[in-house]
Amino acid sequence: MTWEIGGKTLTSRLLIGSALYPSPEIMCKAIKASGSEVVTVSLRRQNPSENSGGQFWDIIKNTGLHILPNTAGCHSAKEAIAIAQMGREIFATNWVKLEVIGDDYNLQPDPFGTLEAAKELIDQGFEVFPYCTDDLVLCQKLVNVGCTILMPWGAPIGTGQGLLNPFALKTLRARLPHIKLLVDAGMGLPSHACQAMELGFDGVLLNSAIALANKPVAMAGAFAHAVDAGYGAYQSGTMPQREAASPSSPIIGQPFWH
Amino acid sequence: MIALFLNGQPKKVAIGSSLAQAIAVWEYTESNFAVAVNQQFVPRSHYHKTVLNDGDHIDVIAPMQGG
Repeated sequence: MTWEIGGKTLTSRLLIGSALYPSPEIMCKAIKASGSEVVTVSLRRQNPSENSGGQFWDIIKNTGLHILPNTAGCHSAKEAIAIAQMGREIFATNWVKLEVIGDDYNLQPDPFGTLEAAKELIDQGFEVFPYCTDDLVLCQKLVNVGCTILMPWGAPIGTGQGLLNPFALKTLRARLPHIKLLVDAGMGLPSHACQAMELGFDGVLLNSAIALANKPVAMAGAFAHAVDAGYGAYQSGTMPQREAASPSSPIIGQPFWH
Repeated sequence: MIALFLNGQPKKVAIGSSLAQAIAVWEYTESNFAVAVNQQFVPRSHYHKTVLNDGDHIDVIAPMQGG
């Protein structure tokens, strides 16, 4: 089943990063195994004597996937806006994964810088995918400045701890029913991605959990299944939880009744 | 000559150099890069009319792995 995000129609609900793989070959195989149609990339300084950026870009171009440039490493709205503009020129896309980091220890997004940059970038015609905390008020303000996509963290980037605050994520889903919600960062297991989808999220964005697995290609496939399973579960409607046990086999006709 | 910074490294270019001239001198031959001067994005179409000044910080960036 297809879905739409940022003006594009996708089949997969798993967005994948391009960093930290043991080799470019394994990265390509893992991306393919994930079934993802969107890959994130960053922008970094390049010296004339190097052409590492060109080689990497050739590999990514050959995947044929939609490119989602990020503003990773930016610590202010000004920096993020400049990087977004540079990404738009290089990749010929108005998509940007907006990252404005407020704390270097846990790479927590700066809510104020993120909001400031999001407003400006939307005014400039960007389709902003903001990496944000799971704070409801921040998310509402991002929506108010025009964001139609939000990417709250599950846990700090690269920790693999899973969804630390399911209540907050569930609240976002309930309060922002028309916004595309993706959990970005902090997942380590396929079950974490499955849980995000079970909460009603529209997708997940992953990198470390796949790239740092012992077998990234196999893990990419596992995550793809988990995302599908979680989405199917949410669409199916889960049974209500009960405090007390309730037998599933009929009581009437029970032999040896005493 | 004026002194400026390319990706944080000190460089010198002729007085009155445009960004286009500096990019050529520094031998950026690939097309997959973008440039900022003093943290302001400069579109490729403006390289010729962007004159560099003493102390400018120029960043040339290219695609890289990212999450």
